Amino acid sequence: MKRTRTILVAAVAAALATAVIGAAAIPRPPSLSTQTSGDDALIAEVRALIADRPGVRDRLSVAVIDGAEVRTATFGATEATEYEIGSVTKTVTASLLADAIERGEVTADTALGDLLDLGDSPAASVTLEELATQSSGLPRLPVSVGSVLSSIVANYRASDPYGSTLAELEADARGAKVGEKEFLYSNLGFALLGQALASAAGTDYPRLAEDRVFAPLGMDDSYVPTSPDELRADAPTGYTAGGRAADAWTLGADAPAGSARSTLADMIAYVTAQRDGTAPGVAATEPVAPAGESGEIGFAWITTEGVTWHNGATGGFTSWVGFDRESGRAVVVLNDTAAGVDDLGFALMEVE
Amino acid sequence: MEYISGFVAFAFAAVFAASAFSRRPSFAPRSRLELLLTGLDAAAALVLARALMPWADVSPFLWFVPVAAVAAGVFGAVLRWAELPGLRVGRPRWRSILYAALHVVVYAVVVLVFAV
Repeated sequence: MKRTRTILVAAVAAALATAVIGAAAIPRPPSLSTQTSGDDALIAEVRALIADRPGVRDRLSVAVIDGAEVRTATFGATEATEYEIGSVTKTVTASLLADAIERGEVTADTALGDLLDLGDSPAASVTLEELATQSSGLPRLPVSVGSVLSSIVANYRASDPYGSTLAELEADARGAKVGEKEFLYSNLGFALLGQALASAAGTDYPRLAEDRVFAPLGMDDSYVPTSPDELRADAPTGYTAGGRAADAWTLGADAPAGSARSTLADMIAYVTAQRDGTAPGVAATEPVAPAGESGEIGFAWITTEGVTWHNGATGGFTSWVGFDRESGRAVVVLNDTAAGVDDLGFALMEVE
Repeated sequence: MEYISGFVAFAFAAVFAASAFSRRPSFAPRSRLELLLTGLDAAAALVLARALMPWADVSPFLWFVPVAAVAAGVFGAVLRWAELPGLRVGRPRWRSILYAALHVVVYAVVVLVFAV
């Protein structure tokens, strides 16, 4: 009898312990921060627009620039809060290409194989302009069993799926099939483009971006990490679209396709200079090729219904920058979750 | 896939709870090892669901449903424990060990991928 009671007590205790541990582990997805600062009307507008677009939110920084007037709205952030800008990095790489052409270091027709060790592979004959206008025929990502498996694992781990060395990137390029020269968004292409430009300049990509884009525009808080060791102290990380904490993406040799980090203040300076035509390599913004349903593309920059824009997405961040030279409006959206912000960006540009 | 992980967690938790109390020969655990592994299966499924479910799009309180089922299963398992043999009677020892080893490999993968 006593033994039965002891077992019963043990069973209740074990069940309670399980319930307590389980309760303590309840998922806690983030929600849009209630700590706001900036323009009250813009804060209200952004909050209303976000409400119509479901998805995990946490920190969000927005700027709407009309001429010289800058209005900002930040949620749980300041203008100095660091974000991964993802593929907006491609516009930096694009600026570097236009700038390198102006400097005479390369031409639009320079072959990739002249700058990187690609042997006589099909990728070697791809030109820098084809890479910049996303019409190189290269695939979006390297295709191999290993890369597919590592992407799947990284997706479930919410970790950085990139991280190859330059030698590995070149090997991927040598093994890549080059398809039709039509618009096909390629991270591989932009990684190669950035590395080629760094090679032409005799430096590495992070230093090139710093020296030729960030420093001239006073973007002191912007940088391009290529490994977790290069992240600044307390570099923030974001959340997946499902609300899981995501690792930082530093991309390794793929950095020119999307590893830059920046702040709202810096991106305001960046997009304003692009709009005003004062940014280094601003020729990159001029449309030169078709971009499918999106409209036209310059070097990285896409132009849709008069709005020149690019978005970005990593495992834990999304971003959008765009401008319209005719209306004088420019918009920056930085978000520390993987939930999309394209709609928000276009809505703030007043494009439906 | 993300939502499926929630259903999987609930299914494994329900199976554990039901088997801990079941007396049906086809459903009841035949050894402590099987009972333990059924419980650990449910725990692994919970880890999976916690990591993969888009909890921002559903109420996080749904989490308590499989947790309650696992807690009930633990209650039943403790009551059941003493009456079960360590390993299934009539099954070669190596098969039980292999069965357990395969589960441990899966647990290791789940922990490494989703909980580390």
